[in-house]
Amino acid sequence: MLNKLYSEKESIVHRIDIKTKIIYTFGYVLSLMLMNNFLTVFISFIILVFLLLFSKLGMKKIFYFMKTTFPALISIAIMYKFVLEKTNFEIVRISSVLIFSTVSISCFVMTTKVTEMAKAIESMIPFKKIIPAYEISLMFTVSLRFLPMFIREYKRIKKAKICRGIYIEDMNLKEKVKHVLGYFLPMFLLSLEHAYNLAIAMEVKGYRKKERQVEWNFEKVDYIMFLLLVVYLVLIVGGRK
Amino acid sequence: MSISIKNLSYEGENEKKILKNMSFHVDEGEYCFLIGETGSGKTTILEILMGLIGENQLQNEIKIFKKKLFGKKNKRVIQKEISYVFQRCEAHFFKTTVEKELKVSGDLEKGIEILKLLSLEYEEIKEKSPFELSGGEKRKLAITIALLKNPKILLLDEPTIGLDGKSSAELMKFLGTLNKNGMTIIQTTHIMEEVMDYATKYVVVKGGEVMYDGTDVFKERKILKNCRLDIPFERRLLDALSKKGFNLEKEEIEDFLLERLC
Repeated sequence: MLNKLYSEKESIVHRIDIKTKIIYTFGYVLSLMLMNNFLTVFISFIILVFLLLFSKLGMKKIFYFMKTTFPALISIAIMYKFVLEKTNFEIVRISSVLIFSTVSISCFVMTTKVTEMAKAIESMIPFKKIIPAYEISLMFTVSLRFLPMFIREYKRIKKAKICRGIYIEDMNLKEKVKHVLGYFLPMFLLSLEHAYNLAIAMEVKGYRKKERQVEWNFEKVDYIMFLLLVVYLVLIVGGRK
Repeated sequence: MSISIKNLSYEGENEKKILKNMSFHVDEGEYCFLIGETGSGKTTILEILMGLIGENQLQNEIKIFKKKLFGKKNKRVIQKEISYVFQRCEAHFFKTTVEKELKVSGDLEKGIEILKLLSLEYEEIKEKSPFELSGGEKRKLAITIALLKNPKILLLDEPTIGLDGKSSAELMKFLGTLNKNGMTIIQTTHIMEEVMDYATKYVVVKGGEVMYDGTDVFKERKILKNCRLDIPFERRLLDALSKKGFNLEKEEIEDFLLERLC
């Protein structure tokens, strides 16, 4: 499923300009910090549902990304409840922030081509003489490119463990944690090897720094998205107690 | 019968049909070569036989040691008896040194013995990280680890890829000896030269379908051509000489030609 992150489909979200999408996603994720009652959580949820419906990505893909937040979600919930002794709403709020931000960023990543994303990020970074915009966008692209590779390697190592008769589902929590830690060494070494190979491949292809500028391609759908973001922000701020 | 596959179909991600109505069987003690070009579904067959994929799609299609490869309990009993060496064998390594890797995999002494048979000096590599070894050494170590499980069936995914000619021949000889001692081996390959000496059964795969299942694939020239596979030069030579009335063994060709030509 994650051999490539970009999911080619004809949808409204795919058509939105990349810069608009970046601002929208950034604005949405930041706005999640403003949630302080059930109404604001509900508004954020509704906006996210609309976004997903318009993106035509399908629940299977979204759930795949959501699953990755579950271990963090459970440990944060346990910490909030028993260590920090927070209220139930606080637990719901922090879980929502985690899930909503993961899903919205996944939606953005899956509806945007990585190369175009990098170009847009680079051209959006101000003060290029002080901030290394090109390097930042390149790092972003490369790290996204590594994500499917990491998942592939993880699956392969998991299969190799089964071949040796090691079954993670039979272990208790302590054993599971110890076992998962054992993945780090091979994953780290394999990713170093991949990084080295990638560097050589880029060198061989004669990869050089190029100035890239992306024009803002504004259409009706972009105006609607901005309007939606403003309305949403007003609702979130207004809905706060 | 060790392994029996009947009407096996398998869909991968994005509902792509990888295996289509595949049927063949491998008897105990056989050395079976799964031959086919890249992307024909060879690795998928091995992964299914190891029980690594297809748990939601398969039910009655595969029987190993007369047990269905279905359900957690059955699967684990079967997985205990099988070892599988991936094509990208680095995935088999988890420890920081070769010594530790062998110790967690089983009997260290036995491991050293197998490495020796594979012409790998344990003393020279024991302190090294498995990831530091050369391609061929990694593969030999991965095979050693797989054998330390004492499997009845050994699944190998293109084990000679990345090995030089001599190492490849040595490895094939070693695998041939294992097979002679009773181990069932299923090996994927697209290099026809290496199947000649040790195979007792051939299964030719193309586009997820079995094109040939038998003991003498070299007679089926049309099928091989259709699957973009060549008959090795030595075999063609032996056949040509046989037609002329010279029934020679592979080892006798060199002397015969020298005698005739020089």
